[in-house]
Amino acid sequence: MKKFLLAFVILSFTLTAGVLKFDHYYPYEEVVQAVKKLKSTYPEFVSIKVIGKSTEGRDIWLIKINNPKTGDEFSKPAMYVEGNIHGNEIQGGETCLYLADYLLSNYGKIKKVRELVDRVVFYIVPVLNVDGRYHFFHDPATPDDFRGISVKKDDDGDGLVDEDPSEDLDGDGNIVMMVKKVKGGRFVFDKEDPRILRPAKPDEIGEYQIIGDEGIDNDGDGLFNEDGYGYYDPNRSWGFNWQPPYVQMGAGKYPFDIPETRAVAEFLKTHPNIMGFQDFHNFGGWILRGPGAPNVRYHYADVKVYDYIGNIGEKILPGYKYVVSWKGLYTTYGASDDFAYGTFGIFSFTNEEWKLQQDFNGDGKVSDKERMMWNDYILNGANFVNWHKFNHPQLGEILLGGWKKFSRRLPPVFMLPELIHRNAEFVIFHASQLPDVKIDEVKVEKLKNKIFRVTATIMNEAAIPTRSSWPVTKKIGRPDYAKIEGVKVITGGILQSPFNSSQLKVQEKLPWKIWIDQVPGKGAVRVQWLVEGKGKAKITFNSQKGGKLTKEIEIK
Amino acid sequence: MRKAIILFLAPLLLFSYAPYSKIKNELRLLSKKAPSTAKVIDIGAGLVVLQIAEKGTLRPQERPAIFVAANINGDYPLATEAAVELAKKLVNEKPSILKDATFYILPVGNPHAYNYLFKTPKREFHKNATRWDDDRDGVIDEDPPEDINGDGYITTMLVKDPEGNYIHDPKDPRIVRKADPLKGEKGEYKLYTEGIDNDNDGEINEDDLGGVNIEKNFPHQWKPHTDDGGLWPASEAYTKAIIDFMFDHENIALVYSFSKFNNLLKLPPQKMGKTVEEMEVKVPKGMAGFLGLDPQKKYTIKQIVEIVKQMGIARGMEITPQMVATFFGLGPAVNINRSDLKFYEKISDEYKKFLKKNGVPTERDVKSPSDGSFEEWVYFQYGVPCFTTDIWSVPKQKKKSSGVLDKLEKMSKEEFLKLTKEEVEKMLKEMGAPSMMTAERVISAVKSGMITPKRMAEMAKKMQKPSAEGREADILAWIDKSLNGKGFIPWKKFNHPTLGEVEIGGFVPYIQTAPPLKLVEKNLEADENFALELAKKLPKLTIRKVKIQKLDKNIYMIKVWVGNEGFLPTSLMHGITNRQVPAVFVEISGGKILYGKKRNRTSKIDGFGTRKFSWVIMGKKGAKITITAFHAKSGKATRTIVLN
Repeated sequence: MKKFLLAFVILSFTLTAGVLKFDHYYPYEEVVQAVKKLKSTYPEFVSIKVIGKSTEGRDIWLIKINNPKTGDEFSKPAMYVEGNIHGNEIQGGETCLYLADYLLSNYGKIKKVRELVDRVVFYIVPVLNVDGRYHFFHDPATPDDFRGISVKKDDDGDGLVDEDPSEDLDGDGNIVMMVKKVKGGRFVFDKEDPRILRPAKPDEIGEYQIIGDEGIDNDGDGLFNEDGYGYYDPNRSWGFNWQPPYVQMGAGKYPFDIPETRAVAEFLKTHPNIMGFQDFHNFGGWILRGPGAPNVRYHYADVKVYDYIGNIGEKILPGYKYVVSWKGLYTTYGASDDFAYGTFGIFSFTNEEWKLQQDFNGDGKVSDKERMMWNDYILNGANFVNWHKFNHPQLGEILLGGWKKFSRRLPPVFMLPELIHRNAEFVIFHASQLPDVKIDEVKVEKLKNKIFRVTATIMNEAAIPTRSSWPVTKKIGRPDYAKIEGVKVITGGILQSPFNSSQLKVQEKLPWKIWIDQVPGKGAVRVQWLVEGKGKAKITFNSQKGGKLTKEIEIK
Repeated sequence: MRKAIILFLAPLLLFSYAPYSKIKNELRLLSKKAPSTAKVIDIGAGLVVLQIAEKGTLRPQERPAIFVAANINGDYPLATEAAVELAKKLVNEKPSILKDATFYILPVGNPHAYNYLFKTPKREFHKNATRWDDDRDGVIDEDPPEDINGDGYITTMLVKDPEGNYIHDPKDPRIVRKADPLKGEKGEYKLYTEGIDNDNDGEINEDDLGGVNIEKNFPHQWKPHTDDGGLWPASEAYTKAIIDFMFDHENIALVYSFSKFNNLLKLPPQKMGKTVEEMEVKVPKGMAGFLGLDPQKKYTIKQIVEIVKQMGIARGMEITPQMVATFFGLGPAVNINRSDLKFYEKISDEYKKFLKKNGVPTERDVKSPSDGSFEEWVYFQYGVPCFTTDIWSVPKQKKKSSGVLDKLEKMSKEEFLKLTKEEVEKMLKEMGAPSMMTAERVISAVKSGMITPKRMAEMAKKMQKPSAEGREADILAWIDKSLNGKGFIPWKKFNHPTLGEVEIGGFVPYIQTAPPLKLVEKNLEADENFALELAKKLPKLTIRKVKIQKLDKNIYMIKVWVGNEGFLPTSLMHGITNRQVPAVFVEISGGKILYGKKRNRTSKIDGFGTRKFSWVIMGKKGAKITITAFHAKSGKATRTIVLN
């Protein structure tokens, strides 16, 4: 028993012995401290950088993890990960910090982690909507508030902007529901559990009316809280298949007219080595991939790669479903994952973290009663504000009550470690499939005196190609190339069949540098040159997203 | 000889068109000269807008405004000329409309490209300075064209090549076109822009300088992965500056654009696809159950809107077809809304009449605004009407009828001299005689016996070459007739450093886009003046009538009729659909409201239309009640009444 316990302690030590503890959710200020702590703890691998200032002027931090001993960042494929683009969907921030901490703290302990960190660069933005996260922690809110960016918007079309936000009337830090007793109202409190407000049945006389979220009618238009903070949705602002607000609610004037997503777009643009992209949202338990809308169709060859990663993802994340956004969830124009793939050919996923676990009777749905059971038996009632009377300045006596902001969309803290570990594992798996290219074999055949045929096999051992098929067909981005130096090149090209040298697709111009569309996942490209001369020669493979490598050969 | 060509052609292009710095100076001078009328607004990215408004009851930004945008593409100097001239005219003449409306004039949307007009060597250029790897070799802008023969122009280079498929047109060797194997023609040349292979990759000029075409960078129906549309919609500083300016100036109610497009002579064609209302969808199961619909059946958006409305689940929110279409992921509108089309048709009719009155022909081929253009964006995303004109284009060659020559040949001297000067002029025009052959000269030549009608006809027939067809032939015909041929650089052999003997020549850059102004005066003036006609169409709020009725002691019923004195509605239908045009608000202040809202709204008031608003208020006799009607794009009207 003791031995077992010891093993358990060691195991849990190896799994969680990072420098960060995830026993609570981090307010923005603590996220910044954590970023700095990662830098000070792992100075040789980590560099941190502010990639932009938010709408309200807060710093947006990026963590770069690269082992300089195995090459500079642009000589390796890279994985970009971001969290918390929606201000209230905070667990993405913890997932990102955990991922960084896990990779760094296990570098010396787990072989696979070491190999991955040596081969792949990670760029991690734990919190993109820093203002949203800041307000979600510090201001009264419902679980859904502070999702967007605080760009002033006239939500109710009355010519005034943000003039009627919600208010925490009773000062308990939560924005809950306002209900007023009224004859013939459409709602009643349930007899069995009087905390549950439900629509009156046909044979019941309704007693209550829902007024809305907690607050006052600031602008005297008879509506409560109809024009609050924002609303601008940063995940509708990305510049691929973007649509204006009348088509896509939450969009702005044009893509990237907010500093948050603009900073990331510029980062992606200037880091062509990025080949994997992961965004973390909450909730529902989804592994989403684009397209976000039915008018775009991804390349079938890339879809196979997506499916491979997504299906493994379903195993890493039990209960999560891997789906195409618009088919499985709903249509979105201007989402981040679509932008990364559509514009740069980057394989991109969006996880909706946290699958409700309150389905006690297993019917696939979570009823109000089950939600209450969860709250009562697992959380001792901590997540619900019980209905209580309040004297409203405009409405007279009302009832206030409902779910607290850290409920519903967020796992309770005791469940957080597993959630962030599994989601981080999904990123690790995705990153492990980034192109892993080797100049596998170089065959030199002597044809005549000083004339040689050199055939180099460039092999990709991972599932993701060095360039996805979408940019190949859309003609975006720089193709890969293989070049030979040190000998005079007569002609060269790509071998179409590994067995037959006559099947050479000749490149007439500059044959010493052969352009390659892509090295497919788990596949090879064979480059062949006819050269004149003997001695040492150097073969280089150069891919923006698939890495850069060289091999010295001897021609004799 | 080379020098001679430069001297010969230079005056043609460099008169009257001004570099961007000069244009900015000119606008600044205008604002100095008339500080209460004109103001230069720096809108960012180096772009400037001139605001023109006379002192009036409302501040310039409260009035309905017309935004005159020019040369968004940057390589159309004629458009800039029109905008600058219009600005001068407005500031100098101060027409009375300036008291009610505001003009915003953007002379150039892409100054970087525009300034290429004044560079040596000269070449047409339409991109901005954004670095762009055209050939995707990882090196940027490394192989632009060059003026290798040093004649001051970058033109076209013909290279003899066994794989070449171009030939000189036998009818007019100045024209170089693809050989037509069906006519037994065999290609001889490959065609390049003038220059060398700077990066030794075997391609000539494959990675030019820049950049993005701003006319392709706007977010409506923007196309990804094009050569010059940008990496994403509104990726460019110029595009953003223009959009930001317009959103910051909500009073812009109409846009008039001088561009390479024209939607006034020809309304844009209906695009593929149905209108939003006609689109059909299957309703997902859960939703269908809720709405009482059959999930297997298809419903039009219009039907769904009606059902949703009937159910009363919208909670006072207006459910538009576009909202429902959005819910089903059906995408944006691509055709002008039917109820907006009538305004386009009416204004197009008036435009044609206006041109005719001003002696400008209305029959010519024009291009409709394309996807990603500023003009399309204005209507579909900004939500106000946009009218655009290309001002002028090289006229189509008239088919020369030999009929007129035959007639001339048979004429006696006496018969000829009986013709009026106008008739002779018409005849010469039909013959396609060079411009130096004026009616006066010809008549005096016939009178003096220097030439007979018969001889004249014979000479004309000899001169008449079998004419080539197509657009290039039209341009050449125009060059010959109006510019004495000085618009084409004849093909000339040149020894290229790597290609050996080549021929260099072609149209003088900007010959079609910056024509000598005196040749297009009428067109320019008509299109400039039409801006004033459009300004007269702007919506304008007014309070038509106020009626007070005493109901009881200190209790009054107040009725107000708010009207629109303009031709255009306060918002187009699409402006409401796309939720960019705010509502008309009518507010009451003073007294206590017993019945009615303090702030009323209506989504629009039609052109020359009226809406009624009423309140019951409590107030003492002698109390002042103020009614204010205002609309972002239609101005403001206030009326104060005294209770008695």
